[in-house]
Amino acid sequence: MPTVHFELQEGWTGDRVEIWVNGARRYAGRPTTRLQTGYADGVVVDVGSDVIAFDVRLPELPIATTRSVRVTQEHWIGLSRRSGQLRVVDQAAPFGYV
Amino acid sequence: MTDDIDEVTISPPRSQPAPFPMGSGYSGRYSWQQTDGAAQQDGATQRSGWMPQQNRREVLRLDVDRRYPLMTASGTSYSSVGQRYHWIASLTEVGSDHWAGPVWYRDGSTSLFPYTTVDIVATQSAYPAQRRATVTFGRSGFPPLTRTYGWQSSTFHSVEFEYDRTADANAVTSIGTCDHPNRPASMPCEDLSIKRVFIRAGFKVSESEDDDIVPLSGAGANARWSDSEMHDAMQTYWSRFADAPRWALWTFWAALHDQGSSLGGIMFDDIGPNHRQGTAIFTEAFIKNSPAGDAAPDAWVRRMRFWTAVHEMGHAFNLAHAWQKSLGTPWIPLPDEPEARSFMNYPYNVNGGQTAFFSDFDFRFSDAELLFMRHAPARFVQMGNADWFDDHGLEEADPAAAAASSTFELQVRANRERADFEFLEPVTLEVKLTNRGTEPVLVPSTALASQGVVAIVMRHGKPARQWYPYARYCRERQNVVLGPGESRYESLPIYAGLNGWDVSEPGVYDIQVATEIDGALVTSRPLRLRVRRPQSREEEDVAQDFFTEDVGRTLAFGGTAVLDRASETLTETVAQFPGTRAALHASAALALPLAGTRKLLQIPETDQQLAAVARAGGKISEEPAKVDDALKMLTEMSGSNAAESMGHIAYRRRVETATRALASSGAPQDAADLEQDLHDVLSRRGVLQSVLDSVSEQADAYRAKAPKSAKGKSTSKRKSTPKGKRAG
Repeated sequence: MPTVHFELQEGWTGDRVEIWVNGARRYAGRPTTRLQTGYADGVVVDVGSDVIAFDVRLPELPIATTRSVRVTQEHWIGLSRRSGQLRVVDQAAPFGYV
Repeated sequence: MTDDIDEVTISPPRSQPAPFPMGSGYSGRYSWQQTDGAAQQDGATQRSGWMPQQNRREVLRLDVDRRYPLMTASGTSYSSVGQRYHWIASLTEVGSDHWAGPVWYRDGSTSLFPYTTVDIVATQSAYPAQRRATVTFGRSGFPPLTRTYGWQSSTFHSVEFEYDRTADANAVTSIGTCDHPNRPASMPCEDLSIKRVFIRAGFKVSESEDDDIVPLSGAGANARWSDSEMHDAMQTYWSRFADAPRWALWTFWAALHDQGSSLGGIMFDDIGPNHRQGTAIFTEAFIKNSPAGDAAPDAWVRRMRFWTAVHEMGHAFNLAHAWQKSLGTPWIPLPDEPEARSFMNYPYNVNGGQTAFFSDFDFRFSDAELLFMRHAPARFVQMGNADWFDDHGLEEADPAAAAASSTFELQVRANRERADFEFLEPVTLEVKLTNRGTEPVLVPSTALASQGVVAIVMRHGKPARQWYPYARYCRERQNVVLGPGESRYESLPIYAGLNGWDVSEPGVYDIQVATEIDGALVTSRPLRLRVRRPQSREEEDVAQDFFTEDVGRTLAFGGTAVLDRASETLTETVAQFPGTRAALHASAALALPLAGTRKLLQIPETDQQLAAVARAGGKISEEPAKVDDALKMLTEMSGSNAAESMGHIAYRRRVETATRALASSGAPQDAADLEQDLHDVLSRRGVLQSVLDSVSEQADAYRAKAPKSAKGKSTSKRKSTPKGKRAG
């Protein structure tokens, strides 16, 4: 059962954020990016399938995105917000922050 | 090009050959200093110009050669605590050793610096003491200002690093630049240290020798470090920790942060009032993992640990990540630099990833970052000053001042429990300079005199004003020894001066003073005081006549025989408001001219517009003393209230001026009685024994001059205070 790390990275300023994975809400919070590191918050989700569908929603704002990712092993998904857009980066290696 | 030479500060004897090589560049820090209108820095001069003459100290940073020249000049004026300004200009070479360009940034008291261009001519010399930079500041419609600055240093600022680590950390403070094969083809092979990186950025770097092993117990049971645990460790193990802005930084190597292996390092110090003093590197985080198949994995890891250390230390200089430059409140509008080959960018975020980054990375900061570190107002950059991410990218402080502040403490204080002053009371404070060091030091005897001290009055809601006393006494400047713990004191009659009655209206004021010692500005903490509201309509009415230049001068100079209107106002004050603080000061000013004979220049009316005094029939006459009238007034000003209101120093001076006059006017017994009163008042107020002894000796001296028949009998009806117990 692969593990997926969702990491909220740049541009989070305290607005409410929800992450839904395969139809279930797995994260809700008001993350704020710490500018020293470019990291705000994260959640680790065990998924049961090779392909996952996830939604990132800002319910108080007209901002949301839906993506699907094939995961055959441990996986890291970075979520950033900039200029009203959500940016998603996925990779098979951990993100590093300094 | 000579790049990272250490500072050259000592000039050789003239008989010796020039100390080549010695950094044949022009870039570096120059200084200019002015005291009482006279430039005193290595023959530096000022010509013409718009700026007011006052104590001023300036630093020029010229950045036109050496490593990473930015073709920029900047300057900071530390003229006084309330009047500091900062400018930056971009430069173009217009001739040999000659640059010019526009001023594009101003900060602080910019009204004192109206100039829009600079023209700089530098003079090279093998002898540092002979190096100069002459700057002409210009602006259309203003007379140009030309100043010649003397050479100080090949660096722009000084900074101190202390490295502490845990036993399980792998600290890397230097690397071989060619140890890893993926590098710029043109990169010279050398041993590169953290110290050298920051020297090349323009700093004089010193590294503390007090490196410690920090026990893992500080990290709690999980042996990982939280930000607050590191903050605690910083306070415990950093030998130089202080909650204050300083050019000093604690760098801490540990294995892992609470966040786990994803956090390679952090500038953790955004806690409390003084941010950016501590930074940490987690050597066992992801930065210890070289990419699969890397050609030199050990070198890769060492380089990454080294890069991370400099990156975190860059945050302590208030540098943001390369892609965050436009966020927060940048000091100037800044573009993001997501592809920058800088210590402040993430290698794995650029196009092509870390391989592309390191193939083109010269182990340096970007030009925009260097501009900030070298030329931005120091308060934005200096550790412990501006909060993290504010102005990334204020009195501070003068580097010499920082050193002086660690030796001297300057206080401005009121001689009372709470600094509340009655309406109409001439606000008189005291300044105290203390040697807080462990060694005796020499200080100018004039350090606290009116010509040596700068006092700033900040009334809430109003612009700051500098206090200018009515008179500056040009005393011989001598150095006096101030032993460890010893202090010097002086009165500060800040109520009025050439600016008028700066401290008179009801309200809250902050008073801050500064003085210059050995070229460095020593500043006090502000004293907050309150002037109360008038107690009656009558006080308001008198205020119109009281807060005038004539009354201010009469009070400041201890009386007048010619400013009749001022004398009338003071007489009215004594009569209308007996027992008030204003009446005490008024009584003193009225009494002193009466206590002794007084010279008066009298000039007859003449039709001649201009005439020598003698030709106009002028003559000096002597007004006889009016001892009884004087004593009547002096009775009003004696006592603890007068000592509190005037301050001990001014009170003693006033009384002793009177006693000298009385003694010379044939009333030595009255002089002795007043002197004894002075002793008793000061004794009750806990004044130093040495002062009490001196006053008591003076009382005895007057008593000895009194005729035997007068012993114990004053000439006036004034009740004499019994002689108090002699102290010491």
